[in-house]
Amino acid sequence: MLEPLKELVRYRALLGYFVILDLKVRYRGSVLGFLWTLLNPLLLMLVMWVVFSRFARIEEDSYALFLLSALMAWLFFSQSVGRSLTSIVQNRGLIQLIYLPKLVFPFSIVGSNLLNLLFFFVAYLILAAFSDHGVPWTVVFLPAVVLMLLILSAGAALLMCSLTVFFRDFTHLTPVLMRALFYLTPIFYRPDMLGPKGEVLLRLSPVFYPVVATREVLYYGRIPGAEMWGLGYGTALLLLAVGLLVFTKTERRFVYYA
Amino acid sequence: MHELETRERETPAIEARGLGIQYRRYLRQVTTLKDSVVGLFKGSHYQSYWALRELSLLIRPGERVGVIGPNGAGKTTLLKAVAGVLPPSEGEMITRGRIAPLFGLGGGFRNDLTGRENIFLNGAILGLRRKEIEERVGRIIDFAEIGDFIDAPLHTYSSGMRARLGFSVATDINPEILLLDEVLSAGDARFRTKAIERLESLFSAGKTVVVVSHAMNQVERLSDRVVYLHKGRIVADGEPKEVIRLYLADTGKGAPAAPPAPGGQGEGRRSDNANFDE
Repeated sequence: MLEPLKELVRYRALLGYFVILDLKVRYRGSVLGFLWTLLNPLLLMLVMWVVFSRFARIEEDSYALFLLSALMAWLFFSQSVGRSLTSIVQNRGLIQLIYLPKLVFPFSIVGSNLLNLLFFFVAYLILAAFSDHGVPWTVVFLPAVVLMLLILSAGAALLMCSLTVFFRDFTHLTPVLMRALFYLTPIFYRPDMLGPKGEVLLRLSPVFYPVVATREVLYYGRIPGAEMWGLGYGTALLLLAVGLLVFTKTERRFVYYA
Repeated sequence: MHELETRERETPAIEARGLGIQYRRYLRQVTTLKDSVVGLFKGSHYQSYWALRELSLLIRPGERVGVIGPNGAGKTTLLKAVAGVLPPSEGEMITRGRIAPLFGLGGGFRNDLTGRENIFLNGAILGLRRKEIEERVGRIIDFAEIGDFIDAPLHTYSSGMRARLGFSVATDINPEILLLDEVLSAGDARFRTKAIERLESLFSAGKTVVVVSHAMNQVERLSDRVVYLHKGRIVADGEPKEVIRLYLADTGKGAPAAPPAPGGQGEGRRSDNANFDE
């Protein structure tokens, strides 16, 4: 199972180019270009802030930062999965022509999203630094939270892109699932707002831990508890193992089905 | 017989053992969950067929092997199996050394990138590290004769320029195994001469070569061994002149004759795994 990862290390130059190409293509032809990386989440946050501060009436020190901190983590997850979904199918021409380690396709998308996330964080920290709320010292725990989020998202991306090769239905099904997961994840609300039973339900979502942990360290200034680290990393590593297993078991057949 | 023994002691560059490649020919467009559920009741929505079957082949380092056979014999499939593009459906395919696939040259090229960026991308696709590409990039640009256009986007290139660039990258990766599907059509007559010179220098440097072609004179000139494929199996394997003569005789008749009785095992013998269902 680890053999494909070793191969990926050998092809790291290729992975690097695919990450750069993905970023180039994403913002190609737009006047603001790369600035959209920062502008996009800020505008999205503005819309949600206007809507939810009117209707949801959630008491928070700064609802905008409360929302943005969790939203960044969520967007990384949903875009990593959503854009990896067709990464094998879209590259069928290349796969049928030349031998490549197939892992570069989903991983390059996760990688370019990771760069995007880092820009997100810069935007957030600038906003927070200028606001009354400020930047808590617990931001030093952010890398550990991001690693959890990265492992989880990579696992989900591997699983979903392999399944999509064999069942194109997932290109239609996944956006719906993602929308449901978005509402089931405490992004624009607090996890305790659904009562103790509701919170148990929320924890079933795999993205619960990294999203909540990101908010803890970026917004509340609290260090996530041992339970959150344990369950968060446990879920993430399990999903990565499943994703890698499904991917490596099926990748030999990609060229015949894609 | 002595030569045969030394042959087998040497570690082969390409080794196929009982190789089978199975394709699916879809009767309907795409696979969906619905199709696979319906398929449980109505039977499958595709037909499988073997493009290659029970194929065993040992190619020593430095051997130059021509692959001939009628359309649909599995020649290109064999080349793609050697390149690692098509994993075996059954059996094994083992290769030793870096492979330069000279088919679909520049297939990894992107129109929105410059020539230089495409050299880096294509080099990375062929498995080179960044440093290795940097060492070669000047030489590749010179050989491809792209000149000032190298920093212009690829969509401004003529098809000849693209082919030249593709050939230059693919042959500059210091391959041990070269795979050719039909002999080059890259660029104009002058570039073709240069390309053939480069190939010949690679050939004489002891590289292993597998060339698929319908042009018998080229196969005979380039190869020191010819494999004759028909319906995914080896009909004959041996000395070029002999095998080509056999193939041409067969095409005259429409189908290959039954394998000869065992015992007559000279060069150019028919392979013993050539048994046909039809």
